[in-house]
Amino acid sequence: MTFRRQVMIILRRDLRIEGRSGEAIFVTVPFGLVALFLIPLALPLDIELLARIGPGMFWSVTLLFGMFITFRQSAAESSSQQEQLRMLGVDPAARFVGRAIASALLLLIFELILAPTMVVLYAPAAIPGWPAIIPLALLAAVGLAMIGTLAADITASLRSRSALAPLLVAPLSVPLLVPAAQGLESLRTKNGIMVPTMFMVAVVLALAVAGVVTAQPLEETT
Amino acid sequence: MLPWSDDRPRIELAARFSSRLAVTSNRPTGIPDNLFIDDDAADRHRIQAFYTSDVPHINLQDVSVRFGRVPILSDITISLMPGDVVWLRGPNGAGKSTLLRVMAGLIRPVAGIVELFGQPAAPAARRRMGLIAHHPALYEDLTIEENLRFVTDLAAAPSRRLDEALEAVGLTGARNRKASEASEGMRRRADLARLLIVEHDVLLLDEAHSGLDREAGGLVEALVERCAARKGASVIVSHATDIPFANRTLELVEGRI
Repeated sequence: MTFRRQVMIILRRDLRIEGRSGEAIFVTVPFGLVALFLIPLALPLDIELLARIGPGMFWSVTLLFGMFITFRQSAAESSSQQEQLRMLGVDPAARFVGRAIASALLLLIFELILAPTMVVLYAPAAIPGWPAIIPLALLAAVGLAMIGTLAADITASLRSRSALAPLLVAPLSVPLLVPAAQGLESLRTKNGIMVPTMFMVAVVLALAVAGVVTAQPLEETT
Repeated sequence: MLPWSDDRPRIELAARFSSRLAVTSNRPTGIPDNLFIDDDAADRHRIQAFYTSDVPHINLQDVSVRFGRVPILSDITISLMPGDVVWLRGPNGAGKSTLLRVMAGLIRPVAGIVELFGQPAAPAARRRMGLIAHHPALYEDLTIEENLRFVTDLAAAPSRRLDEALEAVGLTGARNRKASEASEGMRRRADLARLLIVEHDVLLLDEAHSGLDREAGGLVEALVERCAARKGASVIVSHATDIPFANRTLELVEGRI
């Protein structure tokens, strides 16, 4: 069986599970929207201030969603299911890629739903050069998804994995979300976003290599 | 010369098929015969195995396992030959499930040698082994059919095997039921169906009878006998008072045989 086919089967499984339960999207999106709504209500009406904290708020809520996805990923696979995949000879790297793509798709959906709310509430004056948000959002989704999958793999053999894995996501995502926030801020101030974007590309590539290379040894140590 | 172009193994194989059908004639009703007829690739594999049948499928030598500082298994030496049906018994906490996982190559021992099919334990060898764990390996949010489809796809097995396996375990009518909504017995049957989808040379069954009614319990027996007839080997962990179809019994007490 080809690597690609294994990736597709794992991806289909994860999306089907999410489609059936709807936990990630239908539970977490309302939470994200409420979080974005509450902050402007708590602050004095200062449009300039809101515009400045908007990107940080957006990525913070996205990070929380990424942590939730990681929690789901860690809790969803029991040791029996992990053993089943090992017995079937599934390539651990294919498993990593399939799960990461599924998480990235969910994160992208989350970002797509939240982004208009963020713009309306935090930056009513339309962000100039807004199409540049697309690569930032894409890179953040893919990077966060890989961090979450990696964290789930690292903690797979631990009894407290579903608690530990999401906690690992927060520090590991700093090199990804800081440039993402800087990118949005640069758009607002009409500065170039090339530097933060390239930095994010480098982080995503490093995560991809780390995830694929460590997949086998991590699986064998569980 | 290709191994499958020789008449001798063909004759042997035919004899084995006949005996297999005889063996399976007592299996519970509902198991389709075509489950026991294999494709050409499996035939070739079996004939190749015919030439190397003196090699143990699993060979453990002085294997010890510890979890942290707690010794779980100590100096275990076992050889599982083709055709063996081993009943592994022992009190709770004796290390039976751990021993099965060592045999499957899922747990690496701290000492000793594990050989699978004559080679040092490697991930590739696991594809030839089927494991039923204590808890069914089902995804709760997926239906029984989707769970088995997942296995069928990953094993690259023909799609008809899925329907045949569902029929064999009596779950055709419940194929669209979510695993979380199925009874424990149904979940157990679905787990057994996984082993019908893929041909295995070794079956490792950890309390596979648990939660099954008499008819489904007979299915475990049919599976094991089918495997033995193909010169496969099986290890059955069970607290039953007797496993009549086992030809060897091993007792594990405090991690020692």
